[in-house]
Amino acid sequence: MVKSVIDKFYYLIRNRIKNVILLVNSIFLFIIEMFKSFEKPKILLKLTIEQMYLTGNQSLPIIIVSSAAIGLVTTFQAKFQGRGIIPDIYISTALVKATLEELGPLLTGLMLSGRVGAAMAAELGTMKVTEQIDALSAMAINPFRFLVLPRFLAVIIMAPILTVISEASAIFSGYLLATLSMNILHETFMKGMRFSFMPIELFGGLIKAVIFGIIISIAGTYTGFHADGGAKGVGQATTKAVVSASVLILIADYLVARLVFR
Amino acid sequence: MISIKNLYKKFDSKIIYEDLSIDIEEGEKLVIIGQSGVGKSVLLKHIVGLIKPDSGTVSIDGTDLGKIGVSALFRQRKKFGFVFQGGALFDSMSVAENVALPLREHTKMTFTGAMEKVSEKLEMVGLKGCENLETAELSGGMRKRVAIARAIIMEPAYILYDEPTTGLDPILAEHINELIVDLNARLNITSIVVTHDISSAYTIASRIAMLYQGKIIHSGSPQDTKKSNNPYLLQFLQGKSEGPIDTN
Repeated sequence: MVKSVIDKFYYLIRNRIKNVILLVNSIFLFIIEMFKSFEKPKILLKLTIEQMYLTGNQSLPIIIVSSAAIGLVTTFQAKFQGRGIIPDIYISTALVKATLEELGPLLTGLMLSGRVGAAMAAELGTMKVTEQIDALSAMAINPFRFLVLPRFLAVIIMAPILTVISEASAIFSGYLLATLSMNILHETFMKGMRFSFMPIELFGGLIKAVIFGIIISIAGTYTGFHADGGAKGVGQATTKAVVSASVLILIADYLVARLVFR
Repeated sequence: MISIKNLYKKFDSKIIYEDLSIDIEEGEKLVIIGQSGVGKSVLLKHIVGLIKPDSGTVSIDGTDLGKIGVSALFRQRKKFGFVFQGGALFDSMSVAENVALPLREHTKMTFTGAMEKVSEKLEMVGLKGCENLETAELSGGMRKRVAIARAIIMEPAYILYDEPTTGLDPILAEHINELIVDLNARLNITSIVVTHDISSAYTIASRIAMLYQGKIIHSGSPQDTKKSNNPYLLQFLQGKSEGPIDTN
């Protein structure tokens, strides 16, 4: 009885490990195929600019609004948790440090994953199940160059740009809250911002943004390209893209923080 | 000439082809018939190298697709137009953009030149003036015709039709059949049509081949097909539920 349970458990674990290895191998081959597809730079540039516009257009409003909300909450909590003991100058210090190192890139990454990664998986998944990707191949158009590479490039270019916008939005909303309703002087807020600003914080945040962009675009395009089984398959691909990208973003966030902010 | 020799293909445990061989001559209008799920569409995808055989060869004008690299395969694919079952039109593009896509990708034609060619091909398929329509605005028959216009825009040597009349009313289906025959004659294209519509097969074909259990079990002219005593072919042509064909 016990042996049978152990055997089943062993079998299950072995299969899981095997599946993970196969998945990693498949993603690796997908990425190689994407890089190998580089050709016709003029058309690629045009497609990438189109995708950059779509990425910005789809995600900019939600990123500005959610970042502004996070800026308000962070400023409010910094003041509230300080309970009058911590000087006001540290309110903006806390806001800027939290925003540049963590909240800006992380929030942008998660929002992009939910908005752009999901849209990519759904669009490419629909194209896969309706044979549009096969149609491209049959027309001698490499679908990796036409569909995957432009999305990959667009997201890794746009992620840092959107991260900077997110950070600016969070800091600005925090500034408005601090100066308009917390009686913190403009000079105090600005001094606190400059007080402990280190360029590596901004740089580290942007590195994170690029890595998150890679994760989001690969998760979105890979799951879309491997969707099957009609509408259900497209739905599953979309969910997989968002969940896997979100989890990987959180893991990558920790790893990059350990490497950059020593 | 397309030559398929000793083709074997399995999806998981299901055998699709077992030693399938067939040659398709230039200028032919070959119609491949067979039950749903027998591997007709998969055969078209083997011909353009979208699916690779487990063993056997697919040769296009003497070039074995299994022995060439990706860029050579893409060069071979330029010889083909492929009309997919649902049209496979790109939702994000207008009719003109869909039809012009191969021109944009493979030629240095100017925008005006490309649009002139698009209009010419749309006129050939009876869709003059539909350039600016979005694909969502198209009916089933229009989608098929736009897909045909896109397939012939590069003036290919071969055109593959996957169930071109499925889902269309009989009148529209007949229009599509006539269009396929007309294009074959006007553009001197070799046409390979996959269908289970017997009426379409008789209208279009210069040769009819039947695929059953992984092999070509019949190949002959429409007249030969009508006269054939092959019990599998007879059951399929007569649409009988009882007979030697395994329907499970």
